[in-house]
Amino acid sequence: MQLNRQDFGDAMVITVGEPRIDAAVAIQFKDRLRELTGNGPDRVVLDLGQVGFLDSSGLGAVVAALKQLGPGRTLELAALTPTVEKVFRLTRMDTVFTIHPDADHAIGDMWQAS
Amino acid sequence: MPTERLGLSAEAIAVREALTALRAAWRGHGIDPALWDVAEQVLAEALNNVVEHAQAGRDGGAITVETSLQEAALACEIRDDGAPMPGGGLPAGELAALGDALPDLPEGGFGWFMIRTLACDLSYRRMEGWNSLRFRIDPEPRRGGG
Repeated sequence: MQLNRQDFGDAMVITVGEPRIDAAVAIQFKDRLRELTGNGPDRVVLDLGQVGFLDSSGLGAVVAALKQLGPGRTLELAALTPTVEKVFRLTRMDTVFTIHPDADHAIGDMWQAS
Repeated sequence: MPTERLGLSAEAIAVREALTALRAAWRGHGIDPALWDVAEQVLAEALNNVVEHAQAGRDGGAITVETSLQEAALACEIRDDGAPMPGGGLPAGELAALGDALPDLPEGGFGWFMIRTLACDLSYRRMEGWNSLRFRIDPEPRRGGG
């Protein structure tokens, strides 16, 4: 499971280096994300730019990751590929997550907000 | 009429491998990539359901998936020798309410919703010891603008 964390002030960017988040890796993904986000900035930006396929197990894992962050912390998404974006849109999960065009925009938003 | 058929074992990783193999095969036939993307999403959800429910707790379960291009649509059939669908029919596949609070957000129940949203002419049959799920993926109408 390729997940890399970089911190930028009040936000961390988690870059997912996996081509697919599917039933074969959903549990690992959720667990690894919990480890990586256990400490550090309150804003977590998940960069999904390398993920070309997300099934409902993967979607469930992303939702679970949001819930396990707990109150006061946010999970935002960046760089959704068209097929992944469609899964969020169809299931209306695009109304739950803030979605940025890419991780740079997400970090930029933070500087504008501060 | 190109047809691609393969068998797989009832494991999540086998589903991934089967979809990857089918994607490559259909690419070789020059399929519209957008049509395959939709088909792959539906096949993934349907195959995961077979692995997680019909074949749950069984060893050596067999699954076959057959896809064939019929004019511009992809006809699909999944067969497996697992348990029948509860109630003998397909789940309604309604999207769970998102709720007002974070703890209420659903983490599952998306699979049948996506199947029902993306696939046409879904049908389920229980044969002698086999489940058969058929559906068709139609090309999306091209839309202009946003």
